[in-house]
Amino acid sequence: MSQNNPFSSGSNPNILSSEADPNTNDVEMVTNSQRSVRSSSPLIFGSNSEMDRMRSSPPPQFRQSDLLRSTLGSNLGSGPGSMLDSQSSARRISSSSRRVRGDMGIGPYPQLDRLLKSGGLNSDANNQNPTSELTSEIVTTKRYIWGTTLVVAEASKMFEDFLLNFTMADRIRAMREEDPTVNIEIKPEHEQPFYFPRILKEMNELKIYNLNLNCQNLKSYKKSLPLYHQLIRYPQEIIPIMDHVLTEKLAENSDEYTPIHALVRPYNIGESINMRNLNPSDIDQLVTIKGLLIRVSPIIPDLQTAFFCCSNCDYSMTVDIDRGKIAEPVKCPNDACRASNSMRLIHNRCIYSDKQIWRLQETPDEIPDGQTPHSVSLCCYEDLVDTAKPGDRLEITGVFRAIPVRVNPRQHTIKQLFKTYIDIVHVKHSSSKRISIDENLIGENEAVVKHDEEDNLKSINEEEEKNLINLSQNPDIYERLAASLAPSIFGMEDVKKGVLLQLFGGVNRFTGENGSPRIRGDINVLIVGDPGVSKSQLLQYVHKIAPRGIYTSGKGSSAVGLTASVTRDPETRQLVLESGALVLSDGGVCCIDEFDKMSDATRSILHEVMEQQTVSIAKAGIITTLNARTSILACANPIDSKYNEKLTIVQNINLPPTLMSRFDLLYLILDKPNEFDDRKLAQHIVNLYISKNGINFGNEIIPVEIFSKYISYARNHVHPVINDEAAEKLVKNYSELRQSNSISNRHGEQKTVAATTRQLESMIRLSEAHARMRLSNIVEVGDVDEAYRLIRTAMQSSAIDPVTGRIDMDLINTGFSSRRRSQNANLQKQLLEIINSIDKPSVRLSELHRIFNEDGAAEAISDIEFTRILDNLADDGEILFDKRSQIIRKLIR
Amino acid sequence: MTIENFINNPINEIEKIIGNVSVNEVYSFQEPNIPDIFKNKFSNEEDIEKIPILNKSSFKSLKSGTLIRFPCMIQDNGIDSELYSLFHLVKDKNTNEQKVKFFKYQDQINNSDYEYLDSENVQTFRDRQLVYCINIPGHNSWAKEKNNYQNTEEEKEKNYKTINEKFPIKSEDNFGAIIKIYDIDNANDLKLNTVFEFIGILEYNEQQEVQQSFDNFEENMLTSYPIPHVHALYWNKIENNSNPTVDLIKKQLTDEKVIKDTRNEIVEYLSNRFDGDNLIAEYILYNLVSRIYSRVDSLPVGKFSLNICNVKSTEQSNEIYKLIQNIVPKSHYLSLEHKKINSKRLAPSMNCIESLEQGIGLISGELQLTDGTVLVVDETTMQEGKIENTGVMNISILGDLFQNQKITYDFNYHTIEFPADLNLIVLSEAKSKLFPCDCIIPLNNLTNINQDKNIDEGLLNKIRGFIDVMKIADYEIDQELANNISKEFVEKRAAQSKGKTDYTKKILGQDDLLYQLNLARLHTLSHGQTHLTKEFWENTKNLEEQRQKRLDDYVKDKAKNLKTNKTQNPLR
Repeated sequence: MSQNNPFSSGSNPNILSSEADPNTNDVEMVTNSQRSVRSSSPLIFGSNSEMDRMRSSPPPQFRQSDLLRSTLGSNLGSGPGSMLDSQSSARRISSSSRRVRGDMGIGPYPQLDRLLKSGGLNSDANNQNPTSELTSEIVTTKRYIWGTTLVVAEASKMFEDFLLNFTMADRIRAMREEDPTVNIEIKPEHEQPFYFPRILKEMNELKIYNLNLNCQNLKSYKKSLPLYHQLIRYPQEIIPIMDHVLTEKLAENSDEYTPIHALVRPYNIGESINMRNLNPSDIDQLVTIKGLLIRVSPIIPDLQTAFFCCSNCDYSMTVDIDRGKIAEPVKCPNDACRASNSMRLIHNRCIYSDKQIWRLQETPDEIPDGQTPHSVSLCCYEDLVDTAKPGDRLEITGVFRAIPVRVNPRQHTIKQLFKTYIDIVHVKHSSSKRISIDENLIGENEAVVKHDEEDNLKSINEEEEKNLINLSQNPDIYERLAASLAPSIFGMEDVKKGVLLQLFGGVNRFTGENGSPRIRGDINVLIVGDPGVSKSQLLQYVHKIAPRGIYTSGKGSSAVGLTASVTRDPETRQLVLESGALVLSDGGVCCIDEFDKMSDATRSILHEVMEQQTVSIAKAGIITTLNARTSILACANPIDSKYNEKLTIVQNINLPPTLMSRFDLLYLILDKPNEFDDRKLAQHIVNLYISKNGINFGNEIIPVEIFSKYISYARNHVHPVINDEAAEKLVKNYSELRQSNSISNRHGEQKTVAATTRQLESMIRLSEAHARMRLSNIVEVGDVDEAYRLIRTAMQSSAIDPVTGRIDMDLINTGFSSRRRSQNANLQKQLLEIINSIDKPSVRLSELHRIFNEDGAAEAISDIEFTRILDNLADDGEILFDKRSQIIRKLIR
Repeated sequence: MTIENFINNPINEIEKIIGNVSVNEVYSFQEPNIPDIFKNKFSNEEDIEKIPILNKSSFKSLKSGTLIRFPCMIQDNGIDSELYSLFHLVKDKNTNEQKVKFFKYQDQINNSDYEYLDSENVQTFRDRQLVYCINIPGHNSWAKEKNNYQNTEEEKEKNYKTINEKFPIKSEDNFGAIIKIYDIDNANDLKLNTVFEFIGILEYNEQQEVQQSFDNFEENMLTSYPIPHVHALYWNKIENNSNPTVDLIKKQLTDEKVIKDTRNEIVEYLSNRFDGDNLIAEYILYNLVSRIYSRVDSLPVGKFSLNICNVKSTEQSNEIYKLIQNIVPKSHYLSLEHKKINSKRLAPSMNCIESLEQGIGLISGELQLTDGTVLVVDETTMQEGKIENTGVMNISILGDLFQNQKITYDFNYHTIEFPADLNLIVLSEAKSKLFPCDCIIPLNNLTNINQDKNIDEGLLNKIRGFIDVMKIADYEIDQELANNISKEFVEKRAAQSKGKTDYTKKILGQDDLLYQLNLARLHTLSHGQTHLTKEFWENTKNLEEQRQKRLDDYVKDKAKNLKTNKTQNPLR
C-alpha cells in the first residue's frame, strides 16, 4: 500500500469525462466540474433543493425493493426493471446492478454501469451490445476506469478465476513461503476448491448472500495478487465488480427466480492501522482498524426511493436516488395535467434503508503515553446495523473517506473543513481467543442474533470437532489444560485447575415454570494470598480469554457500578438503566481484584448475584430484576496484607463467612521464601524476558485458539449427567467433609469455614465441569473424586493440623497426603521414646537429630520436619523446646 | 518586514513568503519552513516579549489574526484530527481575479475581500491535530507575566463562552482555546497536563453557534463552540512558572555566600510566620523543594508528602495556605466538604456521549493539575456526615495519589492511570488517617500564624527564586558515602533484631531507608547544594529525631487529654 500522495499526482478517481444527460434517470454521465469530493459522499450537503437536504446515500442492494417497485406499478421511467432481457439471470443481475451498496459511496461509474447492464463483463465487450438505450460508443477491448490502472474486464476475470480455483492448499503454501517454520500439513481435502461449489450451496440454502472474503486468500492465490492490491487501492471500484461476478455465478446455479444480489465483504487485508496514523494518503482506500466501540447511534433511515404525488391530479411516481441526489420532478409527467411544481413527497411510501453511525475508540493498550484516547466515526449500512454494541472490541475493515463539513450559510466568514470517517465493509469481533456465547444461557423467551463474521460458515466444522474429541481422549488432558491456562505464571497448579473448571462451568438447569428459574451451574472462585504471587496476572489472563469478561477492582467499584445505574439518555431525555459490571458480564466471568477492599455495601450485592444470579434494582421508578449469570473470580489480600499464621483462616480473610461459603473454591496462596522454588521461579521469569517471538512453553501446552474452541465446544455440546455410583460417592464425600470441620480450638471458636449444603452443590458443579472437560456425557466417580480433592485443598481441611489448630502451609505446598500425616504421628511417638531414653535432662537439637536418624527412623527426615515434630511434642506438653538455644529439655512428670 | 508587522498581521507576512502560486504548481509545491522563519525572527528575548500574551483579559482587546503567545496547560488531547486543504481558489473582490490562496494557519477568509470558489482542482489534503488548552490552573497572581503589548484597539465584549467542565479550578481567569498543531511529527511531546507556550496566530469567529448533535457529520462539537482558535507555529515547554523578575534573581544565585544567606533568610521568614518554630519551617521547605525524579517499577522516588497536624481550625489552615501561595508559583487548596466530595469527581473522566450538559471530551477534575503544583488538602473542612459513592471514589483517588502519585482517569469502558507530580501537604487536626503521608509533624500548641504585614517583595522574590532553582537541581551522592550509609543501615537493623524485641516498634525496613535518603537529599537541596556530605547526613538524622520526639510528645499529650476528659466526666 505504498502510495505517493494520490492527490498530488492529480488523479482523482472520481472524475469521468463524458457528457451529462439530465433528463433521464438512466445511467447518467457527468462532467468534471460536477463531480467532486463533495458529491461523492453518501451524505450530501448543498443548498439547492429540498431533496439535497435529505442526505441520502446511493441505493444499496435491497432485494425487496425490486418487488416493491413492481407492485407500486408506477411508471419507472427507463429503470432497469423495464429492460426485459431474454436471459432470466441477466434480468436478475441487471435490475439490481444499478443499485450499489451504501458503503461504496456513489454508484459505479457510468462506464462500469453500462458494462454491467449489458452483461458484457465476462466476455469481450465487443460482442455484446444488446439494448437500445446505450448510445453507440466505440467499445474497445481494454476499458480502464479513469484515474486507475484498473481494467474492468481483467479484474472480474481474475476474481472469477479465484472463486473457482482457489484452494486452501494455496494458502498454506503461501504461509509456508512467508514463514518457513509454519508446519501445517496439506491434506487432500485442502486441494478442493474452497469457495465453489460449497459456498454456493450454503448461500442458496441459507439465503444469506454475504461472502466474507478473507483477503489473505486473495493474496496467496498467485493469479489474483494484482487484484488484492487493486482492492486495497480502489475499493470503490473493485468491490462492486466482485459483487457482480459473485451474483452472476450464484444466479447461474440457482433455480429461483427472485432477484438476488450478493455482497462481498473483504477483511483481513493485512496489518491493521493505528487510528492515529490515518492520514490523507489513506483516503478512499481500504483500511483495517481495531478499537473499542463506545457509541452507537439509533438507526437512521436513509432515503433510497422517493415517492411523489401530484397535488393536482394525484398522479404518483417514484424517483430513485442517484449519486446522492433525488431529482424532484418539476413537471407532472401525467400528460393530462402537466402542472408545474405540484409534486409532493409522500414520506410513508418512500423506501428507506438502514444506516447507523458508530464511534470507535482506541484500545487502551494502543494509547501512547500521556495521551487520551482518540476516536473515529464509522458509518454502517444494512446488514451490519446493530451487530455490535458499545463496549465491544472490534476489528473493522472499511473505506476511509473525507467529506466537507456543512457550510453555515449564516456565517459571514466561510470555513472549508473536512471531516473523515470510515464506511464499514466488514465487522469482526476482535480476538478469536474469546469464547463464544453459551447457548445454554439463552432462556426460552430470548433470542440471540448471530452475526457471521468470518469465512467459515460453520464455527466449528467436523474436522475440528474430531480433533477436539481426540484431544479429550488423552489421559492427561486435565493436566495439559491446566498447564496451558496462563502459561507464563509459574506454579499454582491447583488454582489453575480450579479456574479451568470454572471456565467450563457446571450444567445450568431450568426448572421450568414457577419459583426459581434456574439452578446455576456457575462456579465461583476466591483466591487469597500474599502480595506478589501473580494473582492479578491470573485474573487478567482469564479476563482476556473468557467471554464477556469484566475486570474490575474492588477499590474502584461501587454498588451502583457493579449492578446498574440510572442515567438520563441525552436523546430521549428519559431515565434509562445502564448496566454495570456484573450485568455486562452476563454469561461470562467477572474478575474482581482487591476483593477485600470492596466496601460492604458493594459486597452485599454479590450475595445475591452469586446465589440467585440476578440483580434486583429498585431506584428512580425502575423496579426490575436483571440477569447476572456470571461466574465470579475474585482475588483478595489477607488482613494485614501478609498472611498472619497465628490467626485462623477466618480471621485472616476479612470476609463474612456467609460470603465465603458462597464461593465454591477458596484458595490460599502464601509467599514463603524457599531457595529452591525461588530459583526456579526466577529462572522462569528471566526466560520470559529473554525469548522474543512467542515463548515456547513446551509441546504440552495447548494454544489459545484451540483452548477456547475446546471450551466453547464443551460448553455447547456436552451436558453431563451424574450416574448412580457417582451420586453415592458424592454423598459419602459430603458427609466426610462435614465431620472434619467440627474441630474447634481450645477456646471453642470455629477456626475454619464449615461445610454447608453449598459445598455439596459445589462438588456437584465441579464434578460436572470435570466431566465436561473430558467431553464425556456421564459424570463418573473419578470426576467426583477430583472435585472433592479440589474442595478439600481449597478449604485447607487437609492442612489443618488437628493438634495445634494452626494451618501448616508446608502440607499444601509439599503435597503431603494423609498417609504422611499418620506417619508423622508415629514418628512423634518414636521421637518421644528416644528423648525419654536419653539420660541427660537436656539435649542439643543437632545431637538428637543425629541419634534419631541413625536409630529410629525408617527414612531420614529433614530439619524442617524434625523441628515440626518437636514443636508438636512441645505443644503437647511433653518436652520443652527452646528454639533459640536449640536445646530440648525433658519435662519431668 | 518589521516585527510589528509580524505580530499584527502575520498572515500577510506568510503570504509574502509563499508568493504567488498558480493552479498548475499546486501539486508540486514545496512548502517553505514557516515556523523556522518565525523562530528566527523572534530569536531574542526583547522581541519575544513584544508578542502579546493570550489570556482572558487580553483576549478582549486582541484582534483576530494577531500573533500571540499562549502559556497554557494541555487539558484535552483526544480531539479528532482535522483534515484541511492547503490551497483554495478564491476570487478577489477588489480586483475580480481568481487566485490560489495558501490556506494554512487560517480557516476563515474575510467575506468582504474574497469570495469562495469551487476549489476542487487545487485540493491538497493535509491533516492537523487539535489540542484543547487552558490557562495554568492554580497559577498564583504574582507569578503571571504582565502583558507588554501596546494595544490600540478598544476592548470589545467578545462572544466567548467558557465550558465550565473543562476547567479544574473555578477562577475568574479561566480561559480556554483550541490549538491547531500543524507539525504532527513533533506533536508527541504534547502530553496531557504539561505546560507549554504556544506561539501562533489567533483566530476567532464572532457569530459562531454551537451545533448540538453528534449523529450527523457536522463539525466536531468542541471546534464549533465559540472559543478562540490558535494556529500554532511552534511551541516551547515551560519548566518553571515564575515571572521574569524572579528569573532574574535566579541568575544571581551563584555565589556560595549568597546561597547560604538566602537560605537562612528563608528559614527565618518561614519560622517567623510560625512563631519562631524552626522545625516546621525546615520541613515545609523540604516539601516545597521536592519533586519526583524517577519512577522505578511504579514506585515514585522522591515523593515527600507532609502532614501538618494539630491545626486548630480552618482559619489557621487558610492562613497557612496564604503563606504558601506567596512563595510558590502554582498551588491549589483542596477542601473536603461533603457536598463537594459527594457530587463531583476529583479526577478527570470522559463520557461517551458528548453533549453540552454532560460535557465535551475530557471532563476535568480538581486534580488535573500540572507537575510541581503544591496541593494543600485541608482535612479540617471535613464535617461529620455520610460519604456516598462518588465520595468514596474520590477518597480512594486521593489515597492513590498520596501513595503512588498516580491519578486514575475514567474513560467509561476502561480507566487509565496518569502519573502526577504534586507537592502534597495535608493540614489536619490529628494525625491524618485518610491520607498516609511520608512525614508527620505537629504544630506547637501555641502557634499563631502571623501573616506578613509589610510584604517585602524583594525578600519574597528571593525566596521564590531559590525554591524554583533548587527544585530542578541535580543531586549526587558519592559512592563512599553511599556505602557508609548502607553499612550503617544494616548495623542498625541487626542491633534492633538482637536486642530485646519490643513488638510495638517496627524493625527498620526498606521504606525507612528510602525515606531517610530522600530527606537527606531534600536537606541538601534546601541548602542550595547538590552533593550530600556527611555533615548533612548527620543533620538530617538530628532533625528527624527532633521531629520524632515532637510527634511522640504530641501523641502522648493527646492521650492524656483524652484521659483527663474522661475523668472529668465520669458519667459519660
